[in-house]
Amino acid sequence: MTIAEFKNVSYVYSKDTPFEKAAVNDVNIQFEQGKITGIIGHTGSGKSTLSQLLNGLLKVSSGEVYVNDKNIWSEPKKIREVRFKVGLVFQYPEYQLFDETIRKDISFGPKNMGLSAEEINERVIESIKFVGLPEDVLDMSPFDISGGQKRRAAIAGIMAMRPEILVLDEPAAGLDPSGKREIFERLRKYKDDTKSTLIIISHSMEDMAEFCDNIVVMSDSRVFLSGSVEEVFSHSSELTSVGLMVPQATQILMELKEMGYDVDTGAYTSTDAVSQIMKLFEGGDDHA
Amino acid sequence: MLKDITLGQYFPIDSPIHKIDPRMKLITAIVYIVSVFFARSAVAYGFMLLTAILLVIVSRIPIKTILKSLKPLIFIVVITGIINIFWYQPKDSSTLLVSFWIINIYLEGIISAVYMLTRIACIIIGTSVILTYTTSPIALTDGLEQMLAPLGKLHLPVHEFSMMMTIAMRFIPTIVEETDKIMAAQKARGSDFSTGNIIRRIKAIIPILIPLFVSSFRRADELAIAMECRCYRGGEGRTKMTKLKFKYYDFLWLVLVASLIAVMIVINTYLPFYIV
Repeated sequence: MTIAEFKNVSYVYSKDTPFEKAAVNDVNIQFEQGKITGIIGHTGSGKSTLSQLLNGLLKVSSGEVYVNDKNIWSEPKKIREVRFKVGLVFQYPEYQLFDETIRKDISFGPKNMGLSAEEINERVIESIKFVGLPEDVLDMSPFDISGGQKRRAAIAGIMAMRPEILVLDEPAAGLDPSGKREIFERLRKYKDDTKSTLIIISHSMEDMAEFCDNIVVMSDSRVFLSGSVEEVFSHSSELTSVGLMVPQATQILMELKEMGYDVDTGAYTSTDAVSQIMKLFEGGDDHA
Repeated sequence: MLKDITLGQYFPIDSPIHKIDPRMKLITAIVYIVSVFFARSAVAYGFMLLTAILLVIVSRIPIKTILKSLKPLIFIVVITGIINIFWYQPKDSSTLLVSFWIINIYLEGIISAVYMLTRIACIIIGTSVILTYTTSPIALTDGLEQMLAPLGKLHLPVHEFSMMMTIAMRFIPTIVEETDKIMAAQKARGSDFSTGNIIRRIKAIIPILIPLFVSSFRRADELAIAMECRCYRGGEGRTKMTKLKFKYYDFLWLVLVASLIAVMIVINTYLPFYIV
């Protein structure tokens, strides 16, 4: 089922000035309900612009954006509702924390929704659990906790609005491998528990290959490839042709194939790659 | 968006005015303002307006940009014009046009208002074309530093002052961009800056200001450390990679602008139309 859709969407920055620049050009994407969709692309390929078009922070120059089959710009006055439905976590969200305590900061979104104090409290506790922070952090100042904790608190601030679609722009940027893994695992659990939809923007092929169900590859303001992870990574050679790195596991398999070994280059996780290579060893007799 | 503000923004193109030494531009901007104040007759004002237009053409700055930068000033200009019309002190030779209750409008009052507007327009267009549109902020502070260098002998911290100015200007776009980003992030959490009464709107600014302050302090700290890492110790014994040197056309430019004063005096004397 499609929960959100871009239909022929274009967006131009600084229109009618010498600095005019098309950030998104005639983009068509469908996001499936309950799935994790990754948007991959280079810096400046338009992926972050897409996220702001989806929750109405930016208004499309042409085309339509649908959330729950409703054009979000059909009633421009109600655009705030769309922002509660499509929660957007910006890149380095820890820099937007502002209140005296983490509790107050996480409450900021729900409070803007006009919820009761009880309901807000319940959501704060719930979302802090989702991101895996201990409850005693709630009464600390955002400036007294570590960077990783700040990042999670900021993500909790969006989760507390209970959005149907959670969009995250590089949620793991600057985290160490174990911190990265934990964030992704917690996001997956959040998605399963709340039955919401996740959209992750990243430039890391490895992370996306392991974590997402579907992938959209952006290149030069346009959609270059889209489909399930398997489909997208079966086009590894095209991906490398536009200068996008395929996962290291796929790279190894591609090189093995070039050397004349019979392997499937569609594998993209290290486990799959290992089993492919092990197969070579098992059938090694007839090859030699 | 905040990014679109153009008032006095540097325009990185190539034109004869762009090439002039920033120190000479600072001097000639002052000379130009002085010459505007020398104008007294209608012909002189017309001539000044002509030079302002000429400056715009030579600098190759799009007329649209200049007009856009004048827009916020319309209010001040209109008020000034109206005050000038009504506050005119009549002389014996003044021509009364309209007399109504305690309001007397004289032809000379209207003329002096028009003169005032021309003067303001000339000064704004002239200085922005000579200075801000055609000189990069870095070149401007560089020029200022070299011009004020003699004051260093009096133990005034000239270098530190210009370094502070350079850094402040360097960070304007960064902070504008940061503000945009934080505003977007808080909007994504349902912040509303455009509706409600004044108190509500002021309250809505807090979630922007605090992160902005925090990140500015952080940035300042990082910059200070980065400068120390490269052994920055203030201006003493510091040499410059590009030392400013006056060329012949810099002086030509000065003569050209300075001669405007002479032209003004000549016009005022020989073509004294509508002097009020």
